[in-house]
Amino acid sequence: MTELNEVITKLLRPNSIAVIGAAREPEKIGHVVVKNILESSFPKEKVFPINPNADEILGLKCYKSIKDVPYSIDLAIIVVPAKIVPQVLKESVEKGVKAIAIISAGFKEIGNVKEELELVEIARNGSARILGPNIVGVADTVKKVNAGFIQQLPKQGKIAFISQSGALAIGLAGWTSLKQIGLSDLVSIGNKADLNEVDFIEYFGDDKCTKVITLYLEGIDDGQRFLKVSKEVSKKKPIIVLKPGKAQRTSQAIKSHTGSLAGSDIAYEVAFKQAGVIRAPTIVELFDWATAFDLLPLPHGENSVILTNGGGAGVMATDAAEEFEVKLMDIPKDLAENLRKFMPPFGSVYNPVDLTGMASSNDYEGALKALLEDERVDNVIVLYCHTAQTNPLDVANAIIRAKSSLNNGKPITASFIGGKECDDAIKLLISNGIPAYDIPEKAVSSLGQLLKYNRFLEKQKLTIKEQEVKVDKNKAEKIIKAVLKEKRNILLPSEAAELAESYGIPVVSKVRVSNIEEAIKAANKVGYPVVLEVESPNILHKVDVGGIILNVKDQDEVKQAYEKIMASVKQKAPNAEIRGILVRKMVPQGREIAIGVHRDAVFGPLVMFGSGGTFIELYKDVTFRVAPLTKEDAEEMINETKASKLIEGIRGEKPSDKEKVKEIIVRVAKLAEDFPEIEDVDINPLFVYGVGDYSVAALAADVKVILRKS
Amino acid sequence: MNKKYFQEILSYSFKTKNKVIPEHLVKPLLKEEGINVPRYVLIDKLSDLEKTSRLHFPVALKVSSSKFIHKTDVGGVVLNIKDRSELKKSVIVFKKKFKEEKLIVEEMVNGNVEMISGLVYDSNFGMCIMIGVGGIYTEIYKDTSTRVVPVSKDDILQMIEELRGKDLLEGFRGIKVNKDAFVDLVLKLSDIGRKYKNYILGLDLNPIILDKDKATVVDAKMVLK
Repeated sequence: MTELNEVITKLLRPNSIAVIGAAREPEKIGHVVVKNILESSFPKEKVFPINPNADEILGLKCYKSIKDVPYSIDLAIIVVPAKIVPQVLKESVEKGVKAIAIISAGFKEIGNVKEELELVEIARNGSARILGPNIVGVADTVKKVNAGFIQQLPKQGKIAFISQSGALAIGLAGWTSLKQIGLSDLVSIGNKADLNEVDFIEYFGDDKCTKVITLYLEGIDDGQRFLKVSKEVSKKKPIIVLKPGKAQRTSQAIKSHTGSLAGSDIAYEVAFKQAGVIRAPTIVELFDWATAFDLLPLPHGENSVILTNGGGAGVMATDAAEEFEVKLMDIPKDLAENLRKFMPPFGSVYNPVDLTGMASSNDYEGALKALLEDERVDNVIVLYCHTAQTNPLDVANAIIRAKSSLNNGKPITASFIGGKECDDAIKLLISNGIPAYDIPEKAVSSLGQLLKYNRFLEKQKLTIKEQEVKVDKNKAEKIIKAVLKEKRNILLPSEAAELAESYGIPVVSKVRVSNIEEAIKAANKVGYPVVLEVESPNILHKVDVGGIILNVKDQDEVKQAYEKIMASVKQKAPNAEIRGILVRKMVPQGREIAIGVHRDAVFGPLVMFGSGGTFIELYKDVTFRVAPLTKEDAEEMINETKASKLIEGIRGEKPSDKEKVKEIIVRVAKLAEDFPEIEDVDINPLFVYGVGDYSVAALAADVKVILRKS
Repeated sequence: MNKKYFQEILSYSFKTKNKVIPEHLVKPLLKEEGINVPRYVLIDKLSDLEKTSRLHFPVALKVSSSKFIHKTDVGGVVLNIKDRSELKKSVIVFKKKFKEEKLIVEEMVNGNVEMISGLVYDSNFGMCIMIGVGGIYTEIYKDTSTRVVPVSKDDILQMIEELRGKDLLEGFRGIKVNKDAFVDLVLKLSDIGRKYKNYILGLDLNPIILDKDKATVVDAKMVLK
């Protein structure tokens, strides 16, 4: 067992607990905590209340200090005012306690950052770990410990729930019980001064009592570690997360709420996707999906069938199937004939299979058996609307019988629409291992998540070879160092182009010249027509100062253009330092795509790909990934945007070289990965040409690079 | 009572049994309804070239026929013809290629933003009107908005609000366009749809080129029921 495993086991499933700040007054949290522990049937001789002013609390002997307890303590829970926390924490560490849960609030969440760091420091000195501060406690159904002020021990089960919100954790203890959802553990992580979500993901990843890991998160501190650990754990069991913060206003609320700096939502979305973490929009889906993962085996294949007694429910489910990527198979002829036996002549053997409102529980049983028996069918979604001539419990039992008679590990989800009897039927189904819901969309989306997770697992099995791209790292380093030395953070156009070139990104090469003769020589060399533009660290928008002239056709025009730019810039930007004039070939207009990088505060380099051009902000047809990237990632990125159509060619255009575009994406990602100094890269437009239309496949017309401000 | 040029369209369709109306019959209708189109000359035979002297170069040469609803696909469009001799050459080529068809020589229109608008008859809701951002933005992003005819000025402004590219009409990146001219054009198209709802199956104005002063319909396709 690793050290982390050991300490979290002590924290969640302790053999002895001390409550520091235990109180005699029933309304105080220090009282409730002791009471909760005793009521969750934890052996009372292993509970030690600490309070210097009391002799006895709830019939237990009270100690003045934890150091006075004559037994070893697995878990210390601290419920004293913030001021005294450091002192009692120190005593706990001196006592040799390794797992310490601090319920007390009044730290980082109200700006007391220094005080919180001090707690971590104290714990570290005794190699103890802290959960919290500012938590509601932990509840574990394996050992049956309710250590905190959660009002009840949740129903026992195999779903672990980690919550950054304490109030939500408390609320969900009862909510989940009501809905027949069983939890292994409920963990409030509060301010995450020391132990955080990643530690618990790692722990539950190896925990035999947990099948599904669910989280409520507002922010992640170490994005790279989250990615690494979650990706590994996802291979073992599903992780489902609810992370609000999509709205601008929400991300403000979160900042002031727990003091954690939330990264931009897009970075979270991408990181979850890359780590195989499933994101749920609300707690309803979070537990709907967790229940499906908990109860069902993983699907063997994609072929799914909807079985219904109502057209409406079937159509709604069909829509949801498309949304959640559940593949509705065509029913083969022989199977269709088989299914006909269980429906009136006006029933439908297409998918959804509609038994019609005439369907009896026997029809359901027969049709479901026929589907489960057929080896071409992988998954079945059973829908039922309460009809006058059927009893929902009979239908539920029919489904249970069909399942258990075959027992061949094919996932079944169900939806029962109706009143009280349907609610009872849903509970019956759940207790028999069939996830059942009140609306068809939930039955479909739950199966959809299982299929999606399956695809993630399949993808992980493919061993992707690390594709080495050749780059000139030394040259790139020199360029960046030179810029930083001048105390600049925005690269000149020529520097940005050179930097891109050093990483094998094709750019329109620009020659810097400092007089007319050099300009003519350069123009002759690159070939006419050319473009002349001013290079200056002080001019960002060249057009505004007459600093760029296009379509320069011959030597005479080069001379004129050179003089015209110089005169115009001197007049319109008299204080700008002119580093020279850039001469470049005028390249043909290609289809415009964009590749960029933005360094995210939480997850690191976020690589962007999408449609480019002037209208990029209007259409936002872009997608992101956290670097490093493989060519497979690049392929996915291309396919996620409409830019894929530009690359394929529209209106009879020739297709472009997709492989080359993928390679450029990987190269841009590598550049950002290799140089943490780089804050932003913006290649827009990257012209792509039809195969054979131009001498190269793609060419970056404009490259901007911004370094981190030191 | 149908106006003159719409009546011509109906009699053309009746005589030839064509539902697809060639461009040279649609443009006069648009003009009749107060919609701005580029200056053009219709060419039947080579000698008609003389009539093009009143046009400003560069010009475009297009075939106008019921047979070719997608002119570009059959090589029926030449853009950016710079002078008279170039035009003559192209017309000779076209006359060989499209023997029976009429040709349009039209002034090229410069602009800043391409929009589209159209009428489409829906069997459930009747005549509908659509607007969108032209070029790849319609084709790839399906950036369009639709209403049932007739629409008011406020409806059109709301339709524009629904476009992802709505900022293009609001001076995005300093691009100057006359939004009112576009709104006015759509209003007139809506009126065509209202008046001729019993005849028109579809009318596509694509592209509509916007500059700081006006909105001009460069190409128009009409299909009758």
